[in-house]
Amino acid sequence: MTKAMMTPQEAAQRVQQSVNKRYAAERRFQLIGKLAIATALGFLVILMSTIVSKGVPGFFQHYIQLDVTLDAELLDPRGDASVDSLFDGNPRKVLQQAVYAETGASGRKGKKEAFKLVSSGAQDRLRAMILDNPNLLGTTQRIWFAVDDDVDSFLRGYIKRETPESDRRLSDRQIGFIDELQAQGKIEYQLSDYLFSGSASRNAEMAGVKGAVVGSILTLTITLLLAFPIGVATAVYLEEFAPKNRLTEIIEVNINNLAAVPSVVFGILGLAVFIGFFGFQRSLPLVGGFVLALMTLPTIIISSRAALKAVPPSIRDAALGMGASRVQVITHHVLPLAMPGMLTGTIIGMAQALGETAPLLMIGMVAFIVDTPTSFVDPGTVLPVQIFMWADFAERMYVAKTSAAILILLTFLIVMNALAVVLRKKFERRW
Amino acid sequence: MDLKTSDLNQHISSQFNEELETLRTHVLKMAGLVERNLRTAVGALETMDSSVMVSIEQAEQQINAFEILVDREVMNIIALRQPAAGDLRVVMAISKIVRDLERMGDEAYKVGKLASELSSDQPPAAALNLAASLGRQVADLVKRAVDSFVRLDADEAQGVFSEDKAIDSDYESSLRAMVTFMIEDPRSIGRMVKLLWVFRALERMGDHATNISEQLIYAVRGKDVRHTEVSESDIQSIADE
Amino acid sequence: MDLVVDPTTEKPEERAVQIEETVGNVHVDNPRMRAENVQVHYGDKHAIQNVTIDIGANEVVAFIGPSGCGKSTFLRCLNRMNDTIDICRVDGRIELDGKDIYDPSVDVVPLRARVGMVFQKPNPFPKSIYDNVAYGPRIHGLCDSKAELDEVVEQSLTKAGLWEEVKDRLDQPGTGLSGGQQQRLCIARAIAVSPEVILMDEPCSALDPIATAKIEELIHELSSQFTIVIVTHSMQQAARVSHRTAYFHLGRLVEVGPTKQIFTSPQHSLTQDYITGRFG
Repeated sequence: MTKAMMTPQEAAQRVQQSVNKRYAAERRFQLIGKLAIATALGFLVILMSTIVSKGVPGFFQHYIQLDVTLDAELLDPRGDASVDSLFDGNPRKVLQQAVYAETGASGRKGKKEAFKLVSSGAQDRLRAMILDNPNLLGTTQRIWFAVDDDVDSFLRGYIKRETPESDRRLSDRQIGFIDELQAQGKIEYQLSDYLFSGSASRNAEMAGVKGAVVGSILTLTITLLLAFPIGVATAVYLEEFAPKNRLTEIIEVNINNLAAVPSVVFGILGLAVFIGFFGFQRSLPLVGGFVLALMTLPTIIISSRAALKAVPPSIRDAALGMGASRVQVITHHVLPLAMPGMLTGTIIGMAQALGETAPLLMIGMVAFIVDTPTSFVDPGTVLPVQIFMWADFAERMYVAKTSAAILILLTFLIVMNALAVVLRKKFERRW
Repeated sequence: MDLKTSDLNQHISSQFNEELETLRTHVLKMAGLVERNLRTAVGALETMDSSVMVSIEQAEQQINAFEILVDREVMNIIALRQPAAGDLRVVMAISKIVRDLERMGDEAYKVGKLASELSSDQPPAAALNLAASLGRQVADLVKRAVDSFVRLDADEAQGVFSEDKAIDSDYESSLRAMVTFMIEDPRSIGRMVKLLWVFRALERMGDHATNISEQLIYAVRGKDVRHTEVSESDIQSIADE
Repeated sequence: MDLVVDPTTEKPEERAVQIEETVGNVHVDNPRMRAENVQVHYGDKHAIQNVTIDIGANEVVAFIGPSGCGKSTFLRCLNRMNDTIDICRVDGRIELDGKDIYDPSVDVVPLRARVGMVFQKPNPFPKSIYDNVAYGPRIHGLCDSKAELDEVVEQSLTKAGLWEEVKDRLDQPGTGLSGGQQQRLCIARAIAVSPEVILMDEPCSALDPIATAKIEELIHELSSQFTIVIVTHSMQQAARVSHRTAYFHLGRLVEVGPTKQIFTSPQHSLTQDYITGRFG
């Protein structure tokens, strides 16, 4: 026997009673959600503001203005403005003359200390200028050179004037020179050109991300060329052709597990296989690309399979019903429809690969490499590893440089993720 | 596959079951009125009692009202339920059966009317008895047709045909007897003609009862037993014209 | 002779009905397709048992029956759409113009060009209207030139009663049409390869009554050129469009007959019960 049904009036009354309780519960639930989001946003804001506030100074550094007399005989002893000739020349001397003239330094110690104000990269810059424009030889030019990183740190206030001279990396005399130059307006805080054009350097003021960015691009190119076709082919085969049996089940489980394997394991694998077994050199973007491709493959396969699964069966039916062969169904209909999803997965996988450090450390891409790699088999490093290395250096200026590099890396990641979103929106179809 | 009465109330839609049941009940009530009117009229033939006309007239009114009601219900069922197969056959049969019932009602009324007219100018008792006996036969036939409809019994309906044949031959012999009466007593021709109309009306009622049975057999068995002399090819040839 | 029990009733013992042979005449004079003793197994499940039926040329045959009775399964056997399902096994013989379509020598691709299919949900390709219709002729290489292809597209759309509505927007996506138009587009796509038989699997179940009426009218017009087999849940629809009706019940073909007869005087009690909406 069931209880007699209550009347609508009774029911309405009880509903009214429960309504307030329900609303309260709802409000509680919403509040918890809002708190969670606020916390997450708070952390994000702290993170971003720290990085930006530390990173933005990294994009700038101090420059010193010198009137340089470009003595042809000193700079270009053979007089033909060739590379060899310029490298035989003595830009150091030219610079020294300019610095002494500017600071009025005298005495062996004074001159030495004065010359130390200018970055050691200044000579290279001078040489490069002449190479670019040999007509400058023999003229006097007003040129901005980067200051030495200690000077830069002093100007930023990291090295305190109050510190006893013996504990300071700058002498009182050097500080005197700097004050004087500053008073004359010959020291300026400018957008750093070394950050984007320079490579790894022990001299903080000359360090830049160019080599690392090129290394990252080369490595990711290899990763993309390997992982995308292999991943898509694997996904298509597993999803469309493979029979459902024990073997394919094991393969599926393993692919899913691979996605959860710590990336450093792929580095060890790369070290053992590519460098140990196949005998590749260390630090090569090619090997880095191989390793990252291995790491990215599960992501691409899983997202590609999801994209293939999302293609409605009615489209397959329609094509099969028209007499399309299995391959035609896939190439004409399924792949075009799944492509946005596959590309999104690939870009996200690539973004992961871009930010990856650990496996690359294992294959030696952490080496200190000054030259920008020009091919897949030139030793190189990548952006996150560069950041990792800079974070390790003692000079104060590297802190700013590290944050700046992080900002650059984040920009790349955001651009790639935005690209994924745009691709998805653009190719997303309704059916 | 024969239709059974149980088939009419086992639809998933209980509303449809009720509608069919109501329809059937209304037809049965109507048939009951027709049968009652006929028996009353036949009784009046024997007793020469003209007072029954009041109740006959009343019942006739109801019969006509039932015809309109049943037609309306049939329309509604066809429009709203879209009956098929056995249901469709039953509904269609009913829509035709009410027409026959209404006609029978008219004929019964006619018999009553003639009986009350004859009460003032009575024909010989022998002639009246002939008419009354045929009337009872027809009333039994009508009862049988209606019963077969109640039970959806095609075999019972089949019996109506042979009985109608018997009625037809009785009708023929009664006509001959009437002619004899008229020859014997030419002065009675006026009364006798009225009595002839009674025989005629009774015979028509027998035919309507047969029609009911034919419709019933179609409803139950899905087989058309009308006009057995018409072949399928005849139907085809006029359809293709 | 098997005892078939309808699992949906509360008292199975009352519902036990014997299905022996199919009631009615399964054969026709000029069959386009013939199915003989067709059995379909889905893994362990015996989905279709012993179905024998002819599909006459230029005839519209409707398959009706309760859900899960196997009518769609049987329909999909007729152009071997069941091939794509691994666990599905088809036994028996299905002929198209006298040739067994399950013969190992028969290629399924040209078969499906001869026996087209229209599905329950309108499923145009997410391509332009033109490309939807042109897809079949293209993959089967039916047209040598663009002009010829244009002609085929126009004719197919005209036959499907869609030309006037879409001729100015052939380059727009087929998915942008209304449901009924999409389904007619699917029909145009199917007839573009000039099939002999068109299979329709509940083609109107997702459409409103007006769109349904248009499709039914179209089926009637197409029946002069094509043989059409339609599976439908709507008995009224089967009654309206088909010449012959086949009633399936629990994987068996219970009764076949001229539609007029099935809907006025079915011979089998199961057919009667289904058509009149009874539990029996």
